[in-house]
Amino acid sequence: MVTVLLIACILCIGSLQLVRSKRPSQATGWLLVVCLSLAVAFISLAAIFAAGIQLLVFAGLMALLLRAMPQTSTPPEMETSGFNVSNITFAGSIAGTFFVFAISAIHSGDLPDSELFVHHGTASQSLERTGHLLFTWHMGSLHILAFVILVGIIGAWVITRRRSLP
Amino acid sequence: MTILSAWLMCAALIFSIGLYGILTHGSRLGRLLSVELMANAVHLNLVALGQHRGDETGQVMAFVGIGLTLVSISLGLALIMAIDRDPHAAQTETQSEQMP
Repeated sequence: MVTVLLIACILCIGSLQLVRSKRPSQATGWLLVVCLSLAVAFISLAAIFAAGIQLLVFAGLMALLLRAMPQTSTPPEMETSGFNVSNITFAGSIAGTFFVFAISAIHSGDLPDSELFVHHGTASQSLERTGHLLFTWHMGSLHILAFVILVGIIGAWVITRRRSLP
Repeated sequence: MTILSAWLMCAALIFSIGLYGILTHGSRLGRLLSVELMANAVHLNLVALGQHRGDETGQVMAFVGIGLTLVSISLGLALIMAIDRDPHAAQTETQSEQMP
């Protein structure tokens, strides 16, 4: 219960700071805190799959947000050396994701059950059942999601491309 | 207070903070990030309720939700970038639509 309250406090404080921050780079940093805390919350709920997806997807989102903001507080010398903030964020999130999956793979039988989990089973069994559900009962949702993401990619490209002058 | 109710209350609080951000934030990007915050609260709700039920349907729904949120945020960011690059374009198109 103490862990739950601690994660909930970090989530709420991060959310408040995100809403209160004036600078976009600062708000993106707080969004990173919120996303990482949410991934930890998912792990505490024995939802390893959701935690991994959360980390992977928001790594891409962070990189996109930080690249889209020209007014980020990155020092120029860091930009030229290739160690800018978005690269570090992206690499850190990818490493975190692999860390989560590696922990669940190595300790497949050792991870404790979540306090919320009704059925007996470990976190890796939950991962296995999620994959089974996703590729059997919810295959249609997966196809629709893939189509929507494709449309979103094309739409974002069409919106942001530079129009040639007449 | 059970653990499930703690998570649900936390999600409700985050959703309210996101709603407050949408209503009060001055910048477009801030509003977009507030929408993201609200979506995060919904995903937390889905996973907590799914795990409480004892099956993984909540995780699958959260996965689909995360994907849809990512698409919406990317499109919103693209729109913000396009408007910031050429602020008169959207205005001109709106005015030309209003003209008879």
